[in-house]
Amino acid sequence: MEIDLNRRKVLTNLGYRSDGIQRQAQGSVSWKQGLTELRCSVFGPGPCRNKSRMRREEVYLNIVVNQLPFATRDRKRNENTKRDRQQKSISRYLESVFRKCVVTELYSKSQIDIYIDILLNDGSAMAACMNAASVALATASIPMRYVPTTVTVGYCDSDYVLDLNADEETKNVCRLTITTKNGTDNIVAVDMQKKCETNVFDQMCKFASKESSQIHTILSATMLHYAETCIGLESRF
Amino acid sequence: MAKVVLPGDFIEDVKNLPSVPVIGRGLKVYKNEIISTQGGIFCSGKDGMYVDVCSKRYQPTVDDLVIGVVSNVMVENVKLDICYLENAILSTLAFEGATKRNKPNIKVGDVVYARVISTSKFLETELACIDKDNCARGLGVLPSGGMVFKVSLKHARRLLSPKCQLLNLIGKEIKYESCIGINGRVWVKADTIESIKCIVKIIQQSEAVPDCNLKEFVDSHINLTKGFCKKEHESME
Repeated sequence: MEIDLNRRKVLTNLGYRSDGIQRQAQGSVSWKQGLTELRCSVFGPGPCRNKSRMRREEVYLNIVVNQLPFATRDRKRNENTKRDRQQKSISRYLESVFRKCVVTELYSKSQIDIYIDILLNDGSAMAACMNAASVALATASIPMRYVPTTVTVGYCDSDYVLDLNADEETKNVCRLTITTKNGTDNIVAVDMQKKCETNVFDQMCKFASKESSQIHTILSATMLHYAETCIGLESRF
Repeated sequence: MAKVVLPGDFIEDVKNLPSVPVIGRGLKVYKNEIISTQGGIFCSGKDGMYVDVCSKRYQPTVDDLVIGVVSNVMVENVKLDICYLENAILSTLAFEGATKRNKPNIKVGDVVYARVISTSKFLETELACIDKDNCARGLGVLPSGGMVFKVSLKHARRLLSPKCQLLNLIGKEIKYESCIGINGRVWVKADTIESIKCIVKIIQQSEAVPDCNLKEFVDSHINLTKGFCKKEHESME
């Protein structure tokens, strides 16, 4: 079959362009962390559609995490993935961090929508969603107090491992997702699965704080690449 | 080379500053430290500092000149869409020569050039088409027959800058009138529809053209338009 190249589809079914950028959104990012791949779109401060959830002093964050049916090995039905316990826990974790991170008093009685589609889930989905959402918020020019840097640490066979994948997550491994401020040792949020001893928990927190500066370097490089477009326009004016 | 800052970057300590500066947009004072809340280019002078952000969302400020589209007409107020969270309010008595017996004729969909006189995050933005001497000075309802389109906020500020020669270069070839709002809306009116389309294309595509190349860019586009008109004229014969 001959393909007419002039009529090749620019937008995929999800509304993204072929390079992963959604043009209608205020900020969007295509994120890949290991084999975990996801898309994140931020629709900027707009009028609050649900009046019962509108807040008088701060902005209402509407975070929707959607895992596509082909994201895992076992296919899941599409109509239930937005309300799964795993996706709800990710969106609640993101909301608890961004409620403190975004300068919310600038936009009273408004709403910021963050939509995340997980294309391939190979473990550490919560950390990948958090990093992608922070980069997307920065590209959307929403004021933030710091850049939340998220890393996943596990305790497996008497050793600390970083950035678990799907095989390591299915085992009986204590798992810790830690969000820090700008990659420093200020921890702003912790999410823990399974149990461990107290001194192991302390060592895991120290290990995560030490390793999160590398994640912050990657986040800064990504945001700097976006901000360089301002340099390109500015230096040629 | 301009300095690029990212969200959460440390700018300056408050105690190190010699006088009280103006902390502009994109910056925030947090525990005696000035940090940036948005990613962009840091600009500082002797009076103050701000971050130049490439953004699509307009934030109204007092004494801004904006272009709004009428979305609702009430007895004493007119609601305008100025690309912000909520619609702005424009009183029907805020026109030149308007009284309770002599109100201007405004319909839904009209384009109004107005000045922001009051803004707050709790109340709606207030606009007016007169100054304190009750003179219009160019404000008011824009005449029909023009075309309204959107550009980015940075490009709108560039077009309004006195150093920019784009509008003068277009005016040497085509007779037109235009109105540029700081909220990213541009209104253009010319004699024929082809002229309007040519001007709109020049203004939209000149966002990525540096200042020194503006003359060749405008000349090439106008020659292309004349060639297109000439070709069409030949085909009609």
